[in-house]
Amino acid sequence: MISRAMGKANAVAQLYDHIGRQVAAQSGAWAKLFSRAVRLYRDHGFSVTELIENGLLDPALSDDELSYYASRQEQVDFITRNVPYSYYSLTADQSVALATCRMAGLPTPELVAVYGEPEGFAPGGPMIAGDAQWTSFLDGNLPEKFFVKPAIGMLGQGAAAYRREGAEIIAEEGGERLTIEGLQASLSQSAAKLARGYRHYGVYLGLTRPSGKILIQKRLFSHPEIVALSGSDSLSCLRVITYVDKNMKTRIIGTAMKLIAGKGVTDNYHKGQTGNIWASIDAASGRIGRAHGPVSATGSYERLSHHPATGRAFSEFRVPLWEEACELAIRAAHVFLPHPLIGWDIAVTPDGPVIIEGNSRWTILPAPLQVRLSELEES
Amino acid sequence: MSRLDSVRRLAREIRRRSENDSGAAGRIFRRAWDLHFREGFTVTELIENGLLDPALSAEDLRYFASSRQYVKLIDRTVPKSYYCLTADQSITLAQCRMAGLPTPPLIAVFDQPQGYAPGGPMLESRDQWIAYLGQALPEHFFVKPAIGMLGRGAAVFRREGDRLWPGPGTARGEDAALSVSDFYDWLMASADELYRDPANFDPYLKLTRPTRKLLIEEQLFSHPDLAAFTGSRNLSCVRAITFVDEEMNARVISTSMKVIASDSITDNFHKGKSGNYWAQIDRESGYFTTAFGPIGPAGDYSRITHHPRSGTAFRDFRIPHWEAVMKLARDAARAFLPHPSIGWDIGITAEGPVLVEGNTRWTILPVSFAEQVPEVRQIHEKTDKRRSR
Repeated sequence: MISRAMGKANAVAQLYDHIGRQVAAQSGAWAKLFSRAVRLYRDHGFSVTELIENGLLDPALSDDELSYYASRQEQVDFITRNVPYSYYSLTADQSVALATCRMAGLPTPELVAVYGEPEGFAPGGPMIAGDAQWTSFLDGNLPEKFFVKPAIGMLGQGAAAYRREGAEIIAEEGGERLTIEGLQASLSQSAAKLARGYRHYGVYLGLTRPSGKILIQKRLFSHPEIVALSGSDSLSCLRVITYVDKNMKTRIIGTAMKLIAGKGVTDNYHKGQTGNIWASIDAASGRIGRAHGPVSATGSYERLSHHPATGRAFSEFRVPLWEEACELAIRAAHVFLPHPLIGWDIAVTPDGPVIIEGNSRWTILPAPLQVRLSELEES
Repeated sequence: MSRLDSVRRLAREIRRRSENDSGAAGRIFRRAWDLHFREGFTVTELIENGLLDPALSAEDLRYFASSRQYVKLIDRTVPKSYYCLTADQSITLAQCRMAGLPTPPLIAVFDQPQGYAPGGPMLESRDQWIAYLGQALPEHFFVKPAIGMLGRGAAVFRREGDRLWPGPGTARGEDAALSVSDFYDWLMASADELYRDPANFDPYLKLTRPTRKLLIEEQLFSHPDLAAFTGSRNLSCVRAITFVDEEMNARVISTSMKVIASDSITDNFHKGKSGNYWAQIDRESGYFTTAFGPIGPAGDYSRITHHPRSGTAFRDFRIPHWEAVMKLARDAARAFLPHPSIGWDIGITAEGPVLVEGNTRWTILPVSFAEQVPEVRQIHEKTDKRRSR
């Protein structure tokens, strides 16, 4: 109880400092911002950290703009009300999502195999078990560049990109060189590690059995215009949130982009700790609105005007094949019904948009939604 | 049924079972007491499934589980987040296809606002659907709700050129051929009917949106030996329940078959009301052991020794491709992990076994398990411990 009271006091102190910094140059605005903070906390469940990190106490933000932001709590409540828990595995287990996309002909990265123990499988069969079968299969089927990731994972943990050079397999991050047998052993170790930590990875799924499933897919690369902006050919995915309302009307309610800003092979933002960027996208135009980097000294996500790796201005960038990407998200939303609310990660490649994964428990902050949650509740 | 009624029914059953052995009544009563209070069998379950039959030994009884026990087993081991994997048959089918597990060939997933052909394209407008169905529908095909229960809404059709002949189960009857555009209208009407009534959907899914999803699949037919045995080419499916234990061993814990014995296009047993049978299969040999029909005047499932259409004795019939059936069940169990327990419906065709569907909330009675499932015992031991505290 005492620690909770201290936590609250600490949050108020943080808020006091932050508002003080925001209004240093404008006397009289303090009370206005404090009242905004109280309203957002009381009516929408924003925590003090959320208010500060996402820059919601920026005096430049109008009330109308603010109404498009949803607190984490509001989002979670909205998801809980709309998404049947019985359908969580459809997106949280990426092997299930992939199977559904493949059956409907939705574009996805080419699947090489689902690695699993005691058995995994190649797409369309056969089942594969044991070191010898896996080594032989991988040797005969791995493409020149490929990507591995846990089927049930979080925040890109355990994902890795590789390339083949002759008999060797080289990890794109770290440069580790492996034989086929070495790769198989590494997959086996990763699967065992995942299996040991299944209660952690599968926390929302309530798993009762370990799962060490790993997807092995042909590696895809970004559209040249995205490469020119980010300086990386690794995939910087769009986050497109689709919602099918109770009248079965489908709409896109959130759009953002996770932009790689380093040498990593994944685009996870993870509150900016990865060095990557989270940018809001205007759904109508496909243009970047605000781009956010890591949390700065002020406690808010740093606002970026230019990509740090290439110096390109975000304001001049329009997502290539934007309409096609949105159209793909809508098609996917229909295929995944009766699951009504999914945050799609869509990569734009030179050959068109591709679904990388779907998320039931999506996030959009620090970007705003494209629609007010209150409007969605009414529809 | 009131408690008093239950006691009366139980007394009648004990009297009936001990008619030829006056000293047996006490033993049967003790058995009923134990099965009810220790294992959770209801009085109806005890009577319907013949569990008070003195011919059943204590050892035999250990292979049975009450519905309360296996529901608890399912609730404790199957994550609810994975229910859709079997209850939405479009997801089951997708998973099977990706793993290369044999399934009936898919023609289309019909849905609104969009459905699709396997591998694409998406199909939306009436014209798109009619053009696609016109070229894709095979000679025999099957339509069923993706999220359905007890075979409700399933229908078969036979194609002759541009004419589609409905089989039993369609509102149109069997004497009027449909054009492809009539068939599209029928699909729309069926989908709307499904959409309108929430009772059509598996309540365990707790859907927040209704669905119109229908699967259109090529109709498969039973292996000739099975067709000769049942007198029907329609699929009589093996029900193989798999359980992946904590050591990750995939075990087939029960093997039975829903045997068609009527003109029905589906093999659902529905407590014998469908006219079909539910028959236990010996897991090791693939031979039928005991077959059950509808509930008789004494209140228990009737025992069927011979199939009425072929006159063949159940005990003399071995399921074709039995080893392949067992292998397919175990492969499917591993491919569907981390979902640990599924009741598979496996059709036996001339070419081999085919997965027709999976069931998370499987039932097993009136048949017993193929082994003394320790996980079921553990559940009631835990319950006993809690009671004794």
